[in-house]
Amino acid sequence: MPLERALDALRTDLDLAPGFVAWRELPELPPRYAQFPLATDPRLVDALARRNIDRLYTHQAQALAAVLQRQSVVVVTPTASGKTLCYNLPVLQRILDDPEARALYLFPTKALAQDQMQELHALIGDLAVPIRTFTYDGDTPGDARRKVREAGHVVVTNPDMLHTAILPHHTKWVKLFENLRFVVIDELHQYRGVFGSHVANVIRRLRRVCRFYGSDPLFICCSATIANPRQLAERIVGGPVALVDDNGAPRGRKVVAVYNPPVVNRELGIRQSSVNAARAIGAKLLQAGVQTIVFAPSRVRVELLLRYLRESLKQRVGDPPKVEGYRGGYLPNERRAVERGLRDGRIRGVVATNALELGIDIGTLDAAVLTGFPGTLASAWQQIGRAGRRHGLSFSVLVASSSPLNQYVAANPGYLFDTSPEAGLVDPDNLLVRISHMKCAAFELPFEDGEPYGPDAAELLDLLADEGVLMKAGGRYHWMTDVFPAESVSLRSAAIDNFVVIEQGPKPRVIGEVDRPAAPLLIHDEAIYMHGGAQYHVDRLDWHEKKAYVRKVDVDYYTDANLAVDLEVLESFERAPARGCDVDHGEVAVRDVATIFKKIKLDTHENVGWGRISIPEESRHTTAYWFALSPDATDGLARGELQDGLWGLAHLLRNLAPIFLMCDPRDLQAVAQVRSPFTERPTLFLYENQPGGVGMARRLFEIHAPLMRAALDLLARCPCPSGCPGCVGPTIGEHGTNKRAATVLLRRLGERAAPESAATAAAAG
Amino acid sequence: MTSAAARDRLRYAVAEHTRATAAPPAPPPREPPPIAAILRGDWHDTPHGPAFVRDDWFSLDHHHGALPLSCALEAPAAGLAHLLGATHAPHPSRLAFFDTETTGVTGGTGTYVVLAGLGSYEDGAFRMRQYFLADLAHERAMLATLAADLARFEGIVTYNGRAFDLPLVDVRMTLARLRAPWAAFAHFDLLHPVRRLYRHRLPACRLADVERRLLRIERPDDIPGSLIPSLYFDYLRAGRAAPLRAVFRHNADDVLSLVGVLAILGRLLAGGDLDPEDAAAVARWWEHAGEPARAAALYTDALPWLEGGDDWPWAAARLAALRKRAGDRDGAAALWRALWSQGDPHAGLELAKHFEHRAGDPRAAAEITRALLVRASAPARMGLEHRLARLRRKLDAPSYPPARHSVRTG
Repeated sequence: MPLERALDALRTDLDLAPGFVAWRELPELPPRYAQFPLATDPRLVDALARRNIDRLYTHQAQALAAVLQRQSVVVVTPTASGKTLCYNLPVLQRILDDPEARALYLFPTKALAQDQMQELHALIGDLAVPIRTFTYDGDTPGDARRKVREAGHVVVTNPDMLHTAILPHHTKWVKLFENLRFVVIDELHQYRGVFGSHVANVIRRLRRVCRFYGSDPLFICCSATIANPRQLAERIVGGPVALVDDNGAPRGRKVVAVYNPPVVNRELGIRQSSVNAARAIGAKLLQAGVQTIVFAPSRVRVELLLRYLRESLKQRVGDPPKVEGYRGGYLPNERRAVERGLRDGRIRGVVATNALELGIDIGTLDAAVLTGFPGTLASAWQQIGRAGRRHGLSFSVLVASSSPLNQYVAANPGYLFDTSPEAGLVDPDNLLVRISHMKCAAFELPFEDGEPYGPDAAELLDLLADEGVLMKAGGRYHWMTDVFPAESVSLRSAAIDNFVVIEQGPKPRVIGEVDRPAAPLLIHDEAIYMHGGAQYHVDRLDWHEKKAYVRKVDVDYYTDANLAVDLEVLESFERAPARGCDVDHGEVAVRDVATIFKKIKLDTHENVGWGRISIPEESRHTTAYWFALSPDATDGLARGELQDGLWGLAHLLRNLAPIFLMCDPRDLQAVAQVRSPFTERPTLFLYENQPGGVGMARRLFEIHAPLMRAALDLLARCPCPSGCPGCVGPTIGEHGTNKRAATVLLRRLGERAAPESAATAAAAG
Repeated sequence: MTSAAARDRLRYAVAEHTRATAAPPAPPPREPPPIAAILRGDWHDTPHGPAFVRDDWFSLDHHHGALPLSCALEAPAAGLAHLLGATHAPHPSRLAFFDTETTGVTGGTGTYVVLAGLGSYEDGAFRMRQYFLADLAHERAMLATLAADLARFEGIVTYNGRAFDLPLVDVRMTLARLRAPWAAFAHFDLLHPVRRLYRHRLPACRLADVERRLLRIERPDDIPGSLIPSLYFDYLRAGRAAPLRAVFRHNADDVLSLVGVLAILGRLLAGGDLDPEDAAAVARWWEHAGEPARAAALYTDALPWLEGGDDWPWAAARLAALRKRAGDRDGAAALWRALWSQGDPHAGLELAKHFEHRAGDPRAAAEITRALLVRASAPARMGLEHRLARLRRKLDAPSYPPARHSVRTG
């Protein structure tokens, strides 16, 4: 076994061995099978037999049985446990019974939708029954759309298309809606926070349109391992959902390790970079013939590692093992080629961002190298799950970076192995989110007087009528403006338009795409843009045309740009005095400014130069909640301690506030200013990521006192000595003052017990 | 539900997406709908409730612009069939002339049809019937009346109806669980033939441009279509019905114009005596319809009359291309010479090719190529330089006989 030998080599390697701070062996899990439910169509059984599937895993059979009993389900499935059969089986079974039946598949991204289409097509090919499946997304050509609408048994799309293109034009989809039997929501765990709240409201609109056409589809959801899959599914779907989490897929023996790179400068406490450490481990595995995936935290690091690995492998005799990159920004055909190469084994290694974490079908590999902790336990385990054959040994290693969070995991590996993964929180009844979708819903179908539609529906309808958006006539509320409401409601906070990267020359060609938020960092003038391991110099970035003109170069450095966040208060909507501080909520302008880039030498990572980035400054207006500390609250704290305390508090509140708001930590950002230009005092800001905000800042303002009390409580109960990811953030060593200073601040901000009513309000969220 | 301040914030959020059109809060509409007080019309009782329908009768010699309303009845059957690209067309007395006014142009299920105008020949006269959404609760009745009336026709005449009016009415019908009976209708969507025939003369091809040009109609006090949604919302909210008179007139005028435009297009395509400009336009039509011989004949007849006008250059270029394809190289070359003498670079290139490969005169070809190079854009230069180099080699070759005659142009 090459992997056995490679692992022995890693553990005995003089340079590497001391770095493995954890090495856990997870035992083999034998498969557990179940028979096909009796009602299964024999044609389906035959088709599966042709693919060497003659029985089901327990979770597949449970999902099929639940759906046959007309229950919606959420299936929790680790990577590569055969989840697609959990929905393809019941859907195909139903279409075989009734050729008029229709199903709608929702995937969070286009790439995933494409991938699942191929799988479904293959299965239908084996069935030899005319079942038509189509993708419907922004790339579907106009003349093909009519056919999709009329003839597709299975329509594969994403929530954004459902929101702006399908629901507002539902009369063109009569056949689909009249006969809709199943809605499949894959990657359910992606739909959390504000995005999830929007998606829940889109689903609510979908169900309403279905009722109009007399259909009542079942929902089949698939989720990665999170703390609350059933609760999340019920909130997104808006109804009872049965949980299937008894995974019957086998797993071979698996080693999961944590590697902390060695200290290279003892005085400064600097460790070897995680990129170089991942390179060393990845190269060893690939040289031993182990098919390996290396995850990198950013696109720049994907390209660096790709280049480094190819160099490390070049020194061997014979043909080096083939290694490719895979990340957002590669063109679809490039990605398809990499997926094929990995499946058939021609490609031995792949360096990826978390694009591959999103369940793209490449089968499984022998080993996974995680360059840095990906931020949440749920995605760490998804990445770890990329390595794991059904039989035989597999290996995953987390290479810690120097960030406090990574160093905490390295010092306390139990955090990785024994802590429950994060919960997926959504708030479908968030007022502003719901109001925007009620407008879309009214555009789709007039509301009946008294129609049930979430809490306070009648009052909200009257409000919309007062505002002249709706018009009540004959007991119904009609849409009464000439705008198209879905256009002004975006489900996602980040703009999704792309910049294209064009290689100049006699025949200019597009070599890649960069999404808007990343453009200032990756393709500014004079940047070295790396793609497929090759280097391109950006000669010119045309910001307005969204084009970067590059030419191929061969230089010994790469470029790295940093983003600074600048927050400015525009207006305070409301201010209230509180214990030890003044609390506000209001409007702020947040600017992400890329100002300079560094030229960094390959291999040594020395800084060899820098340049300015000049890109039009763009600011987002959003809402924030902030509190400015009074002098007695900070009394006796040195400036450094105050800064540590504020940052500790910021970390704590970013962890805690989502539980009160039912949102995702990514929906909130924190900024601590030791002396804010607006309040002229030490101030902590929490602002909403969604432009314009969805009312969370106001809610935080309202629950300030219980929030402080809950923070103090959490801090007091956290057993860590000086800070951990679960409270004020991890600190390196025993010197950090975050926890102590944050405790001092919180005692002064929230010690006194608040009246009972406020505590009840907080508990109600 | 929320505090007063939160309610204000909510109002702000509600208004955010609708600022463009949000009207000041207005009193609720009065009952019965006030439209009948402003415009003569009938309330049709249907099983779905009342529908407001207004009829206007016009005698057939009523002139809408330059033509009487009888003109479509006299349009040649062959011309109408050509217009449809079919072997035959329904008789004009079986056609519905149709146009709608709506609450928006975005489409989708939240856009309402507030006024539908249907013109038709009835009992020796022309009837203009308008279906008005007097109250949102009357929509089903209005659509049912319209659907029933449409059933007797065999064809429909619209302006951009294929992309806009008909799909929108279909949306409304589906929502009301009705069906418009036009699936088997012959559809004259006049926008497309107008574009094909008049693109050179009418860049925008809006109905207003077309009726001004073809029917010599001016509508000085017409309301712009973009105002209609807000006039209608104002009618619903505040009961202000008087401004709707202009909307009814606008809709009726559009429908009446369809009659004249149909007649003119039908007459053009039927052949017979044509103005040279029209003949050139119709020639283009036949080119697109895959009848090059017919097109060439029309171009040939029209060209002498067009000389010196705006239409001559493109018509000459088209005829040259048709002649080249038909193998009439000398005929094509004569036109290219004339075009090249006016500086048309495309004709120059064709002429250079002709001299080099057909007329065996590389000297003349080189002369033209040099002239073209002077003005050529960067991408075109490479091809021209290549051509010139080849011509030079031919001229320098010892076997090449000296020029015996100079190039005659014109």
